[in-house]
Amino acid sequence: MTKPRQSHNTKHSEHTDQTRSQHLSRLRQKALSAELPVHINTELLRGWSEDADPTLNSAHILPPLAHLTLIDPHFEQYPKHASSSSSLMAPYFWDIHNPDIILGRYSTHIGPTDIALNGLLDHELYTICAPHIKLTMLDEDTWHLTRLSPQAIVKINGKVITKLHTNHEVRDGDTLTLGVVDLRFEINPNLELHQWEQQQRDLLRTQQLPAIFLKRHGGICGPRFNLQPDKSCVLGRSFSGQNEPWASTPQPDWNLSGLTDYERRFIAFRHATLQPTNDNDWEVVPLSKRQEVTVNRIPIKTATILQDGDEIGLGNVLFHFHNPLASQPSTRHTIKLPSAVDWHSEHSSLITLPKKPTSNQDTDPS
Amino acid sequence: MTSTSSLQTGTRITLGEHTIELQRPLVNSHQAWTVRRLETNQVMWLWTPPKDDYASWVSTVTKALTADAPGQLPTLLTKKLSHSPPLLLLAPTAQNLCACDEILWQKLTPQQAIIALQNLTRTLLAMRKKDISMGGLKREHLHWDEDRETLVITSMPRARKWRTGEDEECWRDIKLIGDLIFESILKRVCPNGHELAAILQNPTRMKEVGLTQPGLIQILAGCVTPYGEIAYLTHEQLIEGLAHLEDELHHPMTFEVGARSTMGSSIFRKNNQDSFAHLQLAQQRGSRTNHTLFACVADGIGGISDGEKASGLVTKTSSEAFVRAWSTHPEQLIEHPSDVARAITKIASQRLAIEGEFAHEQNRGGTTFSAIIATEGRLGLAHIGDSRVYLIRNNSLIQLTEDHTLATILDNLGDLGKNDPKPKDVRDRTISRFLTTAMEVPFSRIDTISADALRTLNEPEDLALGQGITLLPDDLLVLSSDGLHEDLSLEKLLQITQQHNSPQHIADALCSAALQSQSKDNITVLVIRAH
Repeated sequence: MTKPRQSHNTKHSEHTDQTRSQHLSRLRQKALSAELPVHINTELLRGWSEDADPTLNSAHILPPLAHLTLIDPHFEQYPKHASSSSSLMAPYFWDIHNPDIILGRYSTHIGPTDIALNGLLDHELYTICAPHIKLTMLDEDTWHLTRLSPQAIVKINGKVITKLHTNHEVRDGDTLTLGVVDLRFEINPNLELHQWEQQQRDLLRTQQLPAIFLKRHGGICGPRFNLQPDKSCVLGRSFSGQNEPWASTPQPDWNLSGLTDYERRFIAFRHATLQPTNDNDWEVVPLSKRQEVTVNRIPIKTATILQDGDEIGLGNVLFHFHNPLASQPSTRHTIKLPSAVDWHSEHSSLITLPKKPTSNQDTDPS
Repeated sequence: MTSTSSLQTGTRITLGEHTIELQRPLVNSHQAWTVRRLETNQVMWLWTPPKDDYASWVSTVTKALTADAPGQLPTLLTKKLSHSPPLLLLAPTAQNLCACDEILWQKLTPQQAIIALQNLTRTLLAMRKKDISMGGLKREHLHWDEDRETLVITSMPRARKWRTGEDEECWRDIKLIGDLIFESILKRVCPNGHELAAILQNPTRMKEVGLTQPGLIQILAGCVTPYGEIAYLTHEQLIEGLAHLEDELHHPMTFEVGARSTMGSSIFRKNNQDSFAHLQLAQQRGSRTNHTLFACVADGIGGISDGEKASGLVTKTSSEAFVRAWSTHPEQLIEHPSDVARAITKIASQRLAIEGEFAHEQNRGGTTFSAIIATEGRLGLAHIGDSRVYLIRNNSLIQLTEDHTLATILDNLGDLGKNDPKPKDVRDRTISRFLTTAMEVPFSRIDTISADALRTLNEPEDLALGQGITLLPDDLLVLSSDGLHEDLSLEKLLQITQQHNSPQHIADALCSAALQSQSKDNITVLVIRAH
């Protein structure tokens, strides 16, 4: 039996509500300082260059349907971001670029989320589930929230949501509480659903040949990689092999090291291969022993054929697979998460009717 | 007492709305006084011209007081030219004045004296740029400001227009500064000019007099006579000479390191998964030496050999990155030690992730990592995991790092955390952030000095975070893996650091104290003293 460790941090447990909130406010202030980009030449310290593509880190080229902003009374000085142009690197501000979006922490066991609430303080992140909620735009201007995990604390304007997989309407300006985090939900009044669909379609149509488009917060955001016919390509990020056993291992074809720090952390150095099969089709082959590959949110371990409009996930980064030359029309589009079972719920019983999702989640709006 | 015979202690004069009473003379000629304003009890200064030169002195001094020398020259409040003698009423630059005599110069440290004389020379230069000379600066024209530890000009009875074309005009000022430097370093009165010139030509006599300090000899030679090739002819040359002397007298901050790491005394521990590294690099530039220290502790997590590999790899990678930073951008390293330490940690994390992917079958571990960069007067820190860095200053102990454990998370959650069913042991031992072979840690999750420690130390908590905190001589730093601080109380830790002097003794004593309290873990401790 191990002797219990003495806590040197007894000051934390002694915190009154007031000193605790001051303490948390200082933590927030410090976290923000840590988030801001520091212009240190890491290439120089590393001794090798990542050759990162800076355009991977550029802002979404399309406007969002809605957005979420952290509400923190102790951090009033943080400037509110009215436009999405700077939101990519702005902590505590999350754009919503899809009418059907899953929010939560990324877990390698459960799979990617559209929006990972990065940048939160450790104790806040601890109360975020993977996944936590789904936000769905049912028709113009009507959004619904669905609680996805049995452990997830969810409130709308302070009202606790207990039922799983049930729609609850959220309105512009509502306060959503996820775990211990309060977020303000705001709808973009200048973008309607059909306009969003048109914009996504137009962006895909710029490309007449197979390509993969980077998605952020649910929507195609700009960066893409054109696939060469009859040539397989490796997705990953650059690495150093000098004087190492893997010195002869080739670098990836699409170097994703220019993604944001949070995105690239679950991207392997050689993550997956996209290779052409016969008949203008492509398949994805997982390469990494460490990082996950998903197709339409389902983890894959072996080569998997792709259809036009499929969603490829590398770690928590999602890509839209675009193949206008596909041999067969696309048949599978809907992304459904496996329903979590609430063992604690009084409503749980041995036999229960399957719950239908209330909306189609269409990753291909075309 | 000629022109100013009408002025004596107690004399009351009305100047516009001010009625002032003379208190005491600031200079032997009674041309400068401290005065008290009767209405408010406010202390001011009053200057009067020499008898023979009323008009031009007043205009010269008025112009001189506009020279760009903040804090060294008083501000002109009002003039009364109709009075006999004419009066200048001034806002004083200092309240707590001390005479600029031999006793003062023997009391000041050479560093204090050099900084004060550099500032004085800059003021003289600023007046020179306005074509004004002090006309032969004397000790009695100066006072020492006890509060700001600086020299202030309290009278300028001989101020006059610079005689064009005569560079030697500044020679008398320079000579006085040479004398004062001599006094502050050798702690006795400087010989007169002829005698000093003779001494400087005779190496044996120089040795007898004690003139061995490099930098000082050059200044004295430059100050002693206005003639010859080595004489200072301008204030700029004297400022440069003083800067060289300052570098020569500067004692660079150095770091003494003691370290100890042990597998520990548990029968279940068959290896030591802790790693540490420390390296101190010194660089000489001009007359100035800079020492920079990098030290880190890593506590490996994972299977039998994986944790050991992970901790060893990050200490090695981070040390290499530190050397690259030091050899390419030493100035930026000194200015932003915490930013650089965090960037180094990020690079170590990436290296670990590469290893995890390409040699995954034997690398499934992770490690905590706490690193410091100590430079001249600054301390930077990067931290992830539950190893710790303590600062011991003035017999008090401050934990600079926050433990990244479940216990900290639950503490911050308040009631929600208190109701969490996990037992204390699990809370304390679950590490919430660490470097891992499974992924690369985002930059923002690499911590630096904790918000609580910054507040305790009264250091800025804002965006200056990357610049680290002040490091003082005699500060003691302790880096430890949890095998040490888990079973050793803070009181005991502080007590041991006070019982021994050398960092190695402290490290050994801390380690054996932890072993005696039956620590089950690997124990690593790094002790650093700044000198």
